[in-house]
Amino acid sequence: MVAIVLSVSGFLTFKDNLEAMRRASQENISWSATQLERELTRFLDSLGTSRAGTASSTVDINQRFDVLWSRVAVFQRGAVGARLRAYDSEHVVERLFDELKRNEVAVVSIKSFDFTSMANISAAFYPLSEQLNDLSRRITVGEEQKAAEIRAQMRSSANFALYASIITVVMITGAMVYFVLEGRRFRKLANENEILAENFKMASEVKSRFLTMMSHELRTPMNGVLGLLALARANEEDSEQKDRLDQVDRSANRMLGMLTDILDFAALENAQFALTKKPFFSNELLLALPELLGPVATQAEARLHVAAEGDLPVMLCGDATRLRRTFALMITYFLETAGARDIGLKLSYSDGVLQARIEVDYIGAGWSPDLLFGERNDSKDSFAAEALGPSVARVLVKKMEGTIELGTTEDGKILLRVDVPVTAMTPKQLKVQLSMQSTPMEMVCKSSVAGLPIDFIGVENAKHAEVILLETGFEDEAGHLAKIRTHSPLAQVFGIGRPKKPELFDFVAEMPLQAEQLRNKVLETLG
Amino acid sequence: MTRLNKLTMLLSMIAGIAVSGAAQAQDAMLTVVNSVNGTEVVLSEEDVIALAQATVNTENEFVDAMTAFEGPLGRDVLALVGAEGGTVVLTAVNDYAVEVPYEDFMNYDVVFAMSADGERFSRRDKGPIWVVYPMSDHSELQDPVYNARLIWQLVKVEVK
Repeated sequence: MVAIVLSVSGFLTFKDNLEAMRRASQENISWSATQLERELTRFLDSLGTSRAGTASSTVDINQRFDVLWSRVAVFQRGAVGARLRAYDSEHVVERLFDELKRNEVAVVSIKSFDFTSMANISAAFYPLSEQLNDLSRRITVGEEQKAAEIRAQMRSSANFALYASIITVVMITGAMVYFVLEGRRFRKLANENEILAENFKMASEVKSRFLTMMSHELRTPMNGVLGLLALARANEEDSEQKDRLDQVDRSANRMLGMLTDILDFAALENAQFALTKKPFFSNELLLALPELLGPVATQAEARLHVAAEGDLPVMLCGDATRLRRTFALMITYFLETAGARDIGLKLSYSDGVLQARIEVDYIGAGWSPDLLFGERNDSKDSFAAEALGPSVARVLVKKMEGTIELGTTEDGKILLRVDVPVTAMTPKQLKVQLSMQSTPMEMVCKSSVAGLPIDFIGVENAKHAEVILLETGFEDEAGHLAKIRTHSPLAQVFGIGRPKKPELFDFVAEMPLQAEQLRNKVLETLG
Repeated sequence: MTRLNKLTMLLSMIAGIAVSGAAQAQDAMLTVVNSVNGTEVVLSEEDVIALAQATVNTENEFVDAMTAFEGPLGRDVLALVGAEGGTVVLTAVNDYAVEVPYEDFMNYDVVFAMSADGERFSRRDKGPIWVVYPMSDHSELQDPVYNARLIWQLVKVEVK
């Protein structure tokens, strides 16, 4: 800012002085004053020459008179006239003009050899000659002084501009050095931050890997413990001992659940985590949750209701596995930690959002809803160390771009609202033809896709088939497949078993039949 | 102006002068001489008025405000003697003279003004002719060099 002010000041000063110099260098008024003095002399000379009876004529006298008059006129107009008048404090030019006007008639009417008139006229003008000479001198000296002042001003201005320029250059150089040094410092800080972030990322990844590995490694022996516990409980007849074993079993199961949560949590932090969106039947979700959580509810002596509300579409598209996991984690938490007595899950759909409402009637001893999301509750001196499941659920909802909100119902129950974007789909009736070598194999395939909107068609309607399940493992598979492609050009052919050329099939479900794999592929086709 | 036009004007002016004879010399307002080709033309007041008249509106150091100067353009006057370059010497009635580059007359509308704001110059003012540059239209002309060329009481133009 200072540099800018200095630069502008220097420029303005220099500009002012240039203007002053330009004004001063206009018409040289010394020359004009000298001309006046000279023309008066020439006029007087013409009168003198005539009196001597030589060359000059009355015409010449009149011409000199007119020229002298014109020089006086210069003093009366324009910028030059104003500057000349400023020096004529004794009004010499004014008196000369008066004398010109007073003698005009005498000059115009002068005759040759009228020496008396010529002498009178000369006598009238001679005194002014000396005074004009003084005026010329004053003007010359005055103009020289002005020129000297302007030169001094110019020198001062040039010095000021020079100093201002030097200071400006020094300041700009200083600023540049400062910015360069600051730039280096910031780059260094940025590099350090980048290294820190990289280290943190690596540490986080190491932690995730450790958690995954640890939970996985711990699950294996825990399963062994649970298996042996089950055997011990089955063989134990002493009721007291059996109760103890039941207690051990519950604790072991809970630990196994926590290990699963840790595994999930670690998986969520993995950068490669991705949602798997595909069509699913809402009814499957409604049925799976009671089946999955029924034993936990029974163990907690609580009731669990899962129901659809409103016009819940038959088919939805979303990550069904993660949705099921989310609801399971929340409900399990309420059952095991919150002392829930009654839990109701209602699923509804509105404008592209699957709305889950979990209402929980709980005992409340030693637990409060604010512990649900792992928030510290100092007043109760309690931490959400057991809220790992809800934490995983919350991250899952976030990953699915949904929202989760805790509230209460009018009758004082906990109300957990979970909204997750899904797409409603209208399932079609998929035309499937089975091409199996045995009836049992047909039954196995049909049971794999049970519940799906499938219309099984016979070979006579093969040209309308959309999916053909073909059992492989016979001679000339490729030839048979070519015939199928010819008769059923629109159909996708799923190979069941181990085909010789799997690349010829749209999908292959290997034996022993992976029912869920096949079911998911059919569902995908339905979508 | 084309060379043919210049020549035509020159011939007509010379013819006019020839008819005027001795009386013309007595009424001479402006003498134009081309020392390069030896041509000389003496113009009376009527001759100067007969030339194409131009008006230049300008200010200068010797007038109080914007003034309309009217008279023939300098280049038209020089064309009368077939001037094509060199230095032009302008001489006043008191024998004061200035040298002006020929290009000035080609580059600018330099007018040989006979009147200002419709009022004819008298010899006691700046008459009969004041050489005026269009200074208001060209800032480069607002310089002492050109102020010195604003010669008045012009009586002779000579091309060297």
